[in-house]
Amino acid sequence: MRHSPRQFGQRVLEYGLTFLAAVGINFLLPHLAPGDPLLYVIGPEATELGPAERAEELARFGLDEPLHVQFVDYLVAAVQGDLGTSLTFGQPVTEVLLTRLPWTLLLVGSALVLAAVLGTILGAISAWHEGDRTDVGLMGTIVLAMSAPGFWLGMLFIAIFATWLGWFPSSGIRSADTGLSGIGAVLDIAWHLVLPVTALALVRLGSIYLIARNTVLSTLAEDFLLFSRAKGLSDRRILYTHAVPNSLLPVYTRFILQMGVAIGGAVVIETVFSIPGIGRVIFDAALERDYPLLQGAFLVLTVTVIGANLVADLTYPYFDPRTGADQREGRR
Amino acid sequence: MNPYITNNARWDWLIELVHDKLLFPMPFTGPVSGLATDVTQVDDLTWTATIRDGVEWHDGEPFTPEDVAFSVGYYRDGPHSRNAHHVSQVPHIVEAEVLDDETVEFTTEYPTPTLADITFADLPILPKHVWSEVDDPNEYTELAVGTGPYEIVEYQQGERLRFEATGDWFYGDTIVDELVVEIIPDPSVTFTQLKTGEIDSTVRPIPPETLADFESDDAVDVVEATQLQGVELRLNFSRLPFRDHEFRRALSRAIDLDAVVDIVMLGEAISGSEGFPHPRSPWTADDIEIPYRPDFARQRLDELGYTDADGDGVRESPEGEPLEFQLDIASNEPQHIRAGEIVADQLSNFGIDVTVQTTDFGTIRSYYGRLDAYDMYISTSNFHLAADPDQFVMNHRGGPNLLWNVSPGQGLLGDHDADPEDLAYPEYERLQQDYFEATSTEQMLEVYHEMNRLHNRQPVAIPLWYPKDLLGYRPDAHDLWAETPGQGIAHKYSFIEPADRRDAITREFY
Repeated sequence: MRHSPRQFGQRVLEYGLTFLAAVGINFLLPHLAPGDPLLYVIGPEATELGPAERAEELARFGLDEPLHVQFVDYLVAAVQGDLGTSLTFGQPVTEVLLTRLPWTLLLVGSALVLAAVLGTILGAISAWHEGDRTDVGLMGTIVLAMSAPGFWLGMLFIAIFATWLGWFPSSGIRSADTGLSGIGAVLDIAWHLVLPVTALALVRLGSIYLIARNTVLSTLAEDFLLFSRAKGLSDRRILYTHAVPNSLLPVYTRFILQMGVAIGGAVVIETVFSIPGIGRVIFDAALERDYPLLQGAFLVLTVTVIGANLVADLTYPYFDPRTGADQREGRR
Repeated sequence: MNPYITNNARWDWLIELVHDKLLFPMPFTGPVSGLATDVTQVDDLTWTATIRDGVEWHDGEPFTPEDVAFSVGYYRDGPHSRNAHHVSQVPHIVEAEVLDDETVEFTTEYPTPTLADITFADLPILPKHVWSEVDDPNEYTELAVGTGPYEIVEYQQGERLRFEATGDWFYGDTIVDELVVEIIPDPSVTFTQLKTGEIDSTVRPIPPETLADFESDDAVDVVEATQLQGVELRLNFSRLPFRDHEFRRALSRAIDLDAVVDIVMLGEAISGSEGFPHPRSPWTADDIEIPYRPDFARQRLDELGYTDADGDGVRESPEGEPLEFQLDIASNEPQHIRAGEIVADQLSNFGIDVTVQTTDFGTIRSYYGRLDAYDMYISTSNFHLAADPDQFVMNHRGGPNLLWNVSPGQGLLGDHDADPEDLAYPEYERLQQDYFEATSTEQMLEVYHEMNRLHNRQPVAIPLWYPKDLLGYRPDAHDLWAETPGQGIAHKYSFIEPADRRDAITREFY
């Protein structure tokens, strides 16, 4: 255990408080928005209720209780997995989100792994060739890709690889063909994911590339690498065996943090490619003013962002012992 | 596929693949026998329907008159839905009683000569043995059970619906065994998929700017088949000056609606100058219009006291308030934004200052229930709003809780901050009373057409255009499409033997 129990407890408490604040804001959204809170819970028909029906509906959703009681009820229900019912789908919000989450994790996970691997390798190559044509060419291309809006990149991919060349499907996550199962079904999903994963990876690649390039550059200036050269090690071995592994810590942190943010950041790619993930749910819920679903989706985002930060915080000392409790206590 | 959840008439064609109605096909053509073989008006307030024998629900249970009586009561007394007003308000069916094993009797609160033509042709019938067990219809998510030609066999949330032909529909033999409906949120992706052949047809009309591309594509056919939709500029009639009926008249005559269509829709739409409701609805008066009359508009504004007293180029109301308004438009509707900019530019020539403000689609939709939230906004109406006379009366209905004389916090159109006394519109309320007292279709139409004329004289919603609904399909997959007004070419009658379609279609494309 690299963290002392006290440090660990302190971290968890900090994140717990952050989570509580985020959940509080999430809870308050329908109350802070202008107009009738019932409008946000049951939809436009709230405007057609008579006084008795209105009182009944307010009581049904606990909206006649004082705000602090409503908040406690909300927390208790949320802990039990009850996030209300989606106005659009008529299903429990938890069920809708659990149906959609795997697709987002598959899309975002694949894209981030691809972005991390490619970004690190290209960053290392760029650093090794600092200032020459390879470095400038890579830097220009990747900065251009990271600056391109996700929707534009997605539509460009669809126009070229789906419409023009016909290599990949333009959208969706799997074919309508019901005969597919087993490996056929897996390959079908992979085929559908090529364009959206590549587009999302390109959008996310830039920051990892820049971090990798900078840290490899710093590492290359270290004495131990000078010694490696003096020993006569090959360039490839110096770069991939010594420089890159010693530069991975910031890349790892960036990767974990992006994992949290990218769950919500896939809204555009999921919409352009009609992938039924959490991003699409947010898009659809916003269009339909499905507040229970929006609140639920935001809660998932909150949990993933805070969770990713917590994972990064707690695991960092394993990869960099200098930041662990043992070292800090040793310094005292 | 749940008539309660699917609270939008856009998806009626999907509901109707599975569910049938007493009469076919829509309230915009002469209805033919559906689940009822015969419908009779007994007196002003009483109707009977003879129920078709030998029909089964998709789960094998027999269809009975009990299902019809149950459906009426369920829509009427249950939570609000797209179908509720057809039995609870306009019109109001007080009772649906099963007389024997083939007859249902309907009693209405006031004479309803169009009960068969409109209500019976618009109300999907539900299976009592399923829905009577459902406590909250808004939370019912099982696959629908109907009597229609298709059974829903799969629903992948956010992905697709799959329907299979049952093979024993009483009205006709299906010629398409399986229908897969892909859910595609982005319109541009829909048209890409139509181009690449990933889908065979789309219910989204082809935008005018891409029409030439599809017309030159040998693999895609394009036909014009109306879905009776319209794009409207809605005015907040609860606020001054829009609640001044004659101000609305002057304002509507200051907008060159033909120019809006020429510029925004490249001429590929019916101009809003042909008036509201939809000019192609068989129910609409044929002598309505909203003409461009700039001289009249200026003169009328002057007469009403809306003059530019301080010389800043913007008129002021008689109360001294400058005529400055915000026009809200959904940011995902580029054609609406362009139209809004043109309208704002045109009105500036009349001393009316309009600021175009884009916002999210959800906000625009919420305005339907919030008269306290906007000055003007642009939105799309489907056939239920743009062409159905009962819905027209429902939306413009007077009375203590509805459009005119509404009480704050109540009524169809929700919150507003006006004194109910100020919203009086006696001319309309008299017509509404006549509508509810009409005992024949001819009388009802006479009153309704008068309502149309009044509305177009002093519109609370100015129609900008009615899309021509250019619909594309790939003939190599299916080329026996036909039109039913209100649903274009995507409806169950396009998927049955042409010889069986009979009067359920108005035009065929083969």
